Amino acid sequence: MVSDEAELRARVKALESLLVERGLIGADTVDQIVEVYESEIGPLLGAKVVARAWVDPGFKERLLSDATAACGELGIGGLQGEQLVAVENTDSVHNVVVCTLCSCYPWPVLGIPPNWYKSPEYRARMVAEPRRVLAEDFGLPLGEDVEIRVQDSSAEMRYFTVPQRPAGTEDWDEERLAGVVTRESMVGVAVL
Amino acid sequence: MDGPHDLGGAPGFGPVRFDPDDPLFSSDWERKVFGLTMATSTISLYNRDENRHARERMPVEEYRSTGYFEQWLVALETNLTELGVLDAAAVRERVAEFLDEPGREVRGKDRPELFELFRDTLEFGASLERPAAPPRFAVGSRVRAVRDAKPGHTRLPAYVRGHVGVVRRVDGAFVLPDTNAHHEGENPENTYNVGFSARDVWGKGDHEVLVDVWESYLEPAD
Repeated sequence: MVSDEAELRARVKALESLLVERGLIGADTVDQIVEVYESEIGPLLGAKVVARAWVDPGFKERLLSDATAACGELGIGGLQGEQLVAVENTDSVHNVVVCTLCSCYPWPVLGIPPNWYKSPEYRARMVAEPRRVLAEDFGLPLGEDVEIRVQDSSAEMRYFTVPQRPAGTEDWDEERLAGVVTRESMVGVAVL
Repeated sequence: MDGPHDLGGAPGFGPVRFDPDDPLFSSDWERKVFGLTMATSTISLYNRDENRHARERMPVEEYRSTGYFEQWLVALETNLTELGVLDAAAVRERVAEFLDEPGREVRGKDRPELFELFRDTLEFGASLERPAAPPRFAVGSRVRAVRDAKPGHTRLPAYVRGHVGVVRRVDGAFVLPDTNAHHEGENPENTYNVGFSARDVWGKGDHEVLVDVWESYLEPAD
């Protein structure tokens, strides 16, 4: 049952117009809400958190023990990130995040999830064969000596990874460091 | 329930189509579906668990042939009509009108105060953490995930059912989705981060899978 675009558009307009008529939402509500996610909330916020962790060992320790509170220090938190957990990637342990049941994702630090994260392929395969999916689909071959931990976000915790700081960035400031932190590296499907 | 959404370890899927530059929304109607879902959940027309359950109730062939935001649209239609917010016949009639007049726009009053409400929810979140009895298990406890799928909504992935894992972290107590989705109360329970060996679960693999579970999904393994 593949619906065509015209039908989908009509179904969406039908709901929106009836909700507006009932006074449950305003004609302006939907656009205002979406604009927040298009312009304000995204992986740039997570990148700030990671960069702070790289330059400030005390912050990193607090982040790894209570990410909700640590992100709160930077004014980052809220909806779909009420309970944040940060996991650290190292030379010997690589964490990667998935939600096999739906699309749970740490919105306040990474924004809303990209299509590949929500895809059935990612949800089905990342838990069962992460080494292969990372190598073949994300171009991230990990050594046999690297232990892989796959985190399935099946309850209320929302996870992101703290990637390793790239070599050669020792004299970079926090802002410049944040510029190299990608969404993919904070989900655990890339390294920097 | 055994539902089409429960994809962990499901066979037959090909490569992940990874594109770092994929837009968040590929069309205007997807964008609207997202906004409508956020707007209607902010004013608590339905809860998070029943929203998920509405998607899980889709027949497997429909779920698999439906894109992500179309699944969200189905859930919106299901929830808003089943809960009596909108009349199903009125929705069908309105869809027909928009199909006849594709250029017609949605018009009506602005409600700036609703966006303010959303801003508050966005900033402060909507935590489902609640007080509950002390946790039954501790870090290091060996636990077995229950074998049987409950008939309604549940958040225990099928791939760990019946398998033994180790509690890695105790995370506090949260509203139980199994009852909250069906308006049978919040019944908060402690939740745990439990590590399972891939070799135990699938007979192969050298990784650990960590799953977050509510207390009633677990029994002592020893």
